[in-house]
Amino acid sequence: MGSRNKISSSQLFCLLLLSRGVLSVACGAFGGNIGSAALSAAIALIASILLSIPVLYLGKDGTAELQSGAGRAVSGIYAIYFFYSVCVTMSMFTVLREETSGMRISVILVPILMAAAAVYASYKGIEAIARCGALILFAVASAFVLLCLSLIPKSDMLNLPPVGSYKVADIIDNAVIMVGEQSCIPAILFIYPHIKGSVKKPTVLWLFVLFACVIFLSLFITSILGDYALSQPFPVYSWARLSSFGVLQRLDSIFLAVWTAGVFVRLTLLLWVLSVCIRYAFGKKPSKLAAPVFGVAALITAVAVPFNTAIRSLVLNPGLLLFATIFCCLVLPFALILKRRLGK
Amino acid sequence: MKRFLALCLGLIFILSISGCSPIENNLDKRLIVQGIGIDLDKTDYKVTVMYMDTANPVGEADVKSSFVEGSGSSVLAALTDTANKTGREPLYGQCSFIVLGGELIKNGIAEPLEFFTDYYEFHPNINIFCSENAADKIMRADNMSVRLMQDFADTESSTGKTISCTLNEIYADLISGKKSAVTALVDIENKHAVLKGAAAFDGDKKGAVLDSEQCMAVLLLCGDAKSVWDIFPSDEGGNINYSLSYCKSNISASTNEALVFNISVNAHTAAYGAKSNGRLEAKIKSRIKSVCEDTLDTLLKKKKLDVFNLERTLYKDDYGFYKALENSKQSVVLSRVNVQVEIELEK
Repeated sequence: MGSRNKISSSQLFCLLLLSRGVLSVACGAFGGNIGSAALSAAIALIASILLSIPVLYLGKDGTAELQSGAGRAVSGIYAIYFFYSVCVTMSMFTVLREETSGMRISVILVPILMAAAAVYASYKGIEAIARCGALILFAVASAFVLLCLSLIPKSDMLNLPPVGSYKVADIIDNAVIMVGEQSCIPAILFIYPHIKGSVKKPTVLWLFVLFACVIFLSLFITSILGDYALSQPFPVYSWARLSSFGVLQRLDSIFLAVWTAGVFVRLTLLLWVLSVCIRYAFGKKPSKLAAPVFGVAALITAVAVPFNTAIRSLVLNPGLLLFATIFCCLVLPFALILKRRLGK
Repeated sequence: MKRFLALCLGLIFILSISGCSPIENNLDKRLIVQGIGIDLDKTDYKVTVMYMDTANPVGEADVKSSFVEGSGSSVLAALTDTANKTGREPLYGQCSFIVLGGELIKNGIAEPLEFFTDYYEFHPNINIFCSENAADKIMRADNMSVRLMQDFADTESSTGKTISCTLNEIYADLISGKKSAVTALVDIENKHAVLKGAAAFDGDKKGAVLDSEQCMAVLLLCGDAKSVWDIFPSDEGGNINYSLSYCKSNISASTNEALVFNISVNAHTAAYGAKSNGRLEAKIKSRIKSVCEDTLDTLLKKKKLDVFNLERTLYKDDYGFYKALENSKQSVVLSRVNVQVEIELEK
């Protein structure tokens, strides 16, 4: 493994924050209610820390277990999970585009370009993805700071609902979505051998920063949109549409641009992890074809999502996503730990 | 090979994504909507669309605008009718205001506003106006322009003589049901559109018309006033002309024995054409207090319209008490409201 395939702890942090953050922005695809999202985020933070423990416990040697014997089958299951995650990400991208621009721009062309770019970038290796991710994270963070600053005068504390008015069902629904979207936690298992330095610290820091941002944004957005947020499929996007800075109007275009760049990094990372899974399961040759093959399959799924309710409800299913994430964060790592123990 | 692929990818981006390459998307083939007036004609919606005249874009003073009408059983059908009449593809992203006509505000504004909220092209910060006249008349006023309507909306922050409202704000009030929606009211005088205070809604139907004094009072009580200008007759003869700035208000709900709201209004004052002294300060204070109390009496007690955020304050400050109320609206109407005014007169 050359130095080109090594990333630092801070790059890992940036990559995880960006990859997971872009999904929070499009939470409306799952039908979540932003009103009580702050409380759900606190629950999701605790759940995510618990889910990351087995992966972090496996550590660098976890990948050795994945490349031999029954571990290969586990790698295959992880590949299916990451493929599902790619489908979810691509579908969110097409659904948000559908909601924000109708179908004026070709529903197929943009995802094709996105998938092609992501497949190409995934061949460049984790180091290139991490460098790109850090740059894009800087752009995303700058854009959000700009949007927040421009919208501060529009916030009204009366729009924040009292905690007593939160519905338990909403809190649980949001927490399910937030934990279900944590596909970055099992991905750490495959990135682990490529990291110079500590993994535990950036992972824990990532979870705290991520959910702190989610809590802040959900409260801030609710204080601006009030009950209007309930009528919007993508409240974060609707929030961005209200922004303006002096003569600069309609800053939502900035939001869409940086969000698209963030989705690109997430897709690239997932496709790279997916090809690593295939390499562990089936060897080097098939892994070279993994990114384009799964990329095309995800593209077909994502393009079908806006038109087919059955596919949409299957792909963007919070319950299924939560089950898959818990299975890959807890059950499979425990199986690997067991394998290691029995092997000794 | 890599360079060739990169070049192909670049060409795809350049030729297919950006720009207005297909001839049918040229600007002069688009109906660039600047404003929409909506009337209710029995059961049909009638829309008057003000659009940019891209065939002859430069007018004498401003961008030249033209008008087209359409009707249909829904707002979408009526808008489609206008597009069919012009033969152009509509572009609603530039629409900056909507005028709701007299019949519509009497019968309910929820349905058309729901359409504008759901349709992705309309921005949530579009200014919403209403009129007791037909919206068509307002749209065809001699002085009608996008600039004029923006100036009307900006009147709230410059003089406090109206209460302007955007699509997201009015829709949030309509769906929450905890505050009566209010929006600027325009009228027509000598074929010219003029601002006439604001209209408050009972549910989604017109509940009351607010004159400029009442608008000022509502803004002061809610803490939304930025700059307010007022004039009133002095008991010593002549008029007292003053302005308020740095206005703040604090509403608190007390639920100990009976429901009582305490509203304190604070502002900096500058008086014009009068000598600043203690008596002048007392007179301005008394004027603001009486306007606020009269407005509360008219709107809250007589018209049963809570445009003052009282119910929202109770909901936020004492949710347990709020939840236990059988009829929260009625309780707020029957509550006692104390107004305290503190001003700092510039010497």
